[in-house]
Amino acid sequence: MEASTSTVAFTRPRPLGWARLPVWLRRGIIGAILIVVWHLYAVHKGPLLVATPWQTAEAFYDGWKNGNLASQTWTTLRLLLEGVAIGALVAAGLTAFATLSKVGEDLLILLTSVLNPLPGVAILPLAMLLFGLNESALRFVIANATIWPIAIAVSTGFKTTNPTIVAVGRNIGLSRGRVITDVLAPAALPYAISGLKTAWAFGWRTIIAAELVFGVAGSEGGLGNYINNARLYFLTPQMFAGLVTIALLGVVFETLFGALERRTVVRWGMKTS
Amino acid sequence: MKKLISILALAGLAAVLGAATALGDGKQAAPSKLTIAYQPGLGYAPLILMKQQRTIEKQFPGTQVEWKVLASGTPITNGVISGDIQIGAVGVGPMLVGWARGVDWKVIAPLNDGDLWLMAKNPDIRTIADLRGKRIATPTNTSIQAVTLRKMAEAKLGSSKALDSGLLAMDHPDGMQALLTGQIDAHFTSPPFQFQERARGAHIVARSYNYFGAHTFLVTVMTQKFYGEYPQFARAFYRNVANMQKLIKANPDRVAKILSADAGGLPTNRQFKQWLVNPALNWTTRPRGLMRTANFMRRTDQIGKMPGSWKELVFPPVYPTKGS
Amino acid sequence: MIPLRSRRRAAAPRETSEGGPLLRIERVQLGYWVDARFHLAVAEATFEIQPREKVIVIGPSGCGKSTLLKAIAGFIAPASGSISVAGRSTLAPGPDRAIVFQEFDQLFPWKTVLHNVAYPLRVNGHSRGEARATAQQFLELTHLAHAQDRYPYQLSGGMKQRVAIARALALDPTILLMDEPFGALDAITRQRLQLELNRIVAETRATLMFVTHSIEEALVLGNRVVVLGDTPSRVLEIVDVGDLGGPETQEYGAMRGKLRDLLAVDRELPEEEEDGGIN
Repeated sequence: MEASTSTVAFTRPRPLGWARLPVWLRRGIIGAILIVVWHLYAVHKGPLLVATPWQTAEAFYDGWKNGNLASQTWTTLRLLLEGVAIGALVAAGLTAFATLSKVGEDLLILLTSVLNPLPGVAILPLAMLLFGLNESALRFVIANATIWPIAIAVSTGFKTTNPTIVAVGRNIGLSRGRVITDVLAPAALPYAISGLKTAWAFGWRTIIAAELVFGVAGSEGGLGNYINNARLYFLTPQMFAGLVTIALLGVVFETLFGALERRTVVRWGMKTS
Repeated sequence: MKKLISILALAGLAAVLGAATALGDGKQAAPSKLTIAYQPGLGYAPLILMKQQRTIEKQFPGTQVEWKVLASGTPITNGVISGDIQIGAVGVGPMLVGWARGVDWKVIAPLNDGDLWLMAKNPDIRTIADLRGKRIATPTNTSIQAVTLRKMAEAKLGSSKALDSGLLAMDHPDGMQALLTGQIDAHFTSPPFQFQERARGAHIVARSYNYFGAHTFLVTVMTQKFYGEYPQFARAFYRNVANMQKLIKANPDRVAKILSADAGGLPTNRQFKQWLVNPALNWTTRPRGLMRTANFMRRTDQIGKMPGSWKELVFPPVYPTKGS
Repeated sequence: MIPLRSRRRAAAPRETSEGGPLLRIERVQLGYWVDARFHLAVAEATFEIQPREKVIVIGPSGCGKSTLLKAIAGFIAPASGSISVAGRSTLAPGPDRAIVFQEFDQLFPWKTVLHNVAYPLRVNGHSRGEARATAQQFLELTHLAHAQDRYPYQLSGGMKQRVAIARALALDPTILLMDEPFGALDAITRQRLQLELNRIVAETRATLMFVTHSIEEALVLGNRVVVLGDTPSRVLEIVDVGDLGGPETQEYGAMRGKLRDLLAVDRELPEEEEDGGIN
């Protein structure tokens, strides 16, 4: 039981001016100013090029109400989740292989240095040749964008694991396989989560860009396609609503990742950044 | 305070001088700087000729002309709206969509009528009905090809949206490659790609002329504002386009040589000449089928308003051609 | 009395069938490869440890005493000679030779204190309930029951080492190995933990092999002291220190002097600091 720290009332020096306001107010004021600037810029540039905040909000509301935005957002998200899942599995397999054998390690290093720099959109034509013009090509491209960040992160995590706890693991009787799953994997979790965040960001950008290029001109399609379509038909508020959706989703996932971290690595005192 | 007054005075003087020069510009005959943008393709030949022969520069020595080739209609459209591009060459479809959404542009000179072909390689695909559920590539969702496809769907399959689920947007070279390698089932394209595809074993499933009649394919547009500032220049531009079209009809050999040189030697003169004389392209400044197309697009909700007459879509130099 | 032998599978033997030594090291040679050359750390070591003995292995820095401990633990194979624990030649690491390292970071940071102690039991076949109960017993033994739901990063260095000791002892090993476990602690905590260790080992009737470079620590904790010389090392002498009186007695001082002399034999050593003993 820790001793109570409130027996002596220490007073922090009160900050002055701007810093004195509560966080939500400060952010809110800055946000409001930015929205006003946006509005003025939109008015200046004209409705065909830039939509005003209000128009965007309207288009956003309509888009969700009639289900268009919702279904297309879901298409994009679904593809992204599938691609990231594939990427994570392949990364896990490659990393385990690399940890267990030297051949595996060489393979991982070679593949990573060759394939990691390739932006998803650049290999999209190749993917379309291999898989045809369908969702599998998109999944392939997203998987490629996500495998390498995760593999790098996890193998770094494995390599930098404190050798003492690996020794403890062997000492208490764990087999090699269980050392990987019960010791190395949890130890690498901070890195894995960080790698997952990076992979998610890459995957997100890849899917939107690929959709713009892939351009399903018909009735299906994801968020990137929604934005592209709005652009073609000069529906600028819709286009901005699509962009706002992307931004909001970004915030949502940031929050989710943060919650994941709080529940695991922060709780364990292992957060690396 | 004194410093402030002198700064304000200087600023005021600068403003007055600036306004004076601006007002002095007034009704100049031609802009000092001009950007013309077009896309890759045979249909833009009149512009390529003007570029190679430096026609505008000779007529208006004070004008500096920048020629840009952009990959698709979208950046051209954006450029016209934002003022970076003064004259853009786009298809009829995007022109109508923009006009209906309030883009302040009209056609200054149609470039050609074009019979656009829907190509397929698979011998089993012979009719529109065979295309149900198949993958079809068009340039963009608002291109004249996509619009015509929808008309075909309406005519043969009962609903304009019948083929929508298989539509893909690909630019012409990608679409051609995809068709020839079997990745897509049909490619609705334009010259010279449709010629090239036919030479490589594809066959024609449908022609746009059969659905819209003879109709305009590519046009050049400029904003009302630009026309208002430089009406003489605009008129001269129209005449230049008409002259180039005459040249193509009269002397295709020479034109083929110029086009081939512009393209860096490939395709060859002979190929260009073959394409130029093909009746699928008719080089004229007479707009045709505008109303019919607009009508259909209005019906299928691709545009929000209808022009009262074809004249609303063009500038005065085009009126005498008695278009539709 | 804490019932320490609960039902468990694969029990580590506490005695050999003939009542012989629990650990026998015979002419063991240990070394390691650096590039293409083999460096000998321990030239020859021979000694035994009987059940319930507390043997301290002491020697100058770098003499190979930690290497010897790791070989017994099974992390390194001897270049020659034999190591046998409870009559079996040991090869792989295992819970019968549970080890406590010097580093504080030997606990799993993602497990609570309780789970750090219980998990190795689960690995070795105990049921969840058994493991939990046993873990709690040993945490009480080390006076850490109040902290059982905390995570390692919330503990002080001394507390972490106590958890490691609890974990090792909960496995009921044949022999408890300790590699300078108090070396990273401050003097006060070190003294306290030495006392605690004595108490705990007495209560659990464990057999202990403890490596250190501190003479005071050896005298406080051990029954016998194995003195290693400089690298490549040999056993210089094995002395009995179990029946000495307190630190103020003459015997104690004499023994301290003797050990100091032994350790200074091969080279010039600075005066040993008096930081390991009870005063």
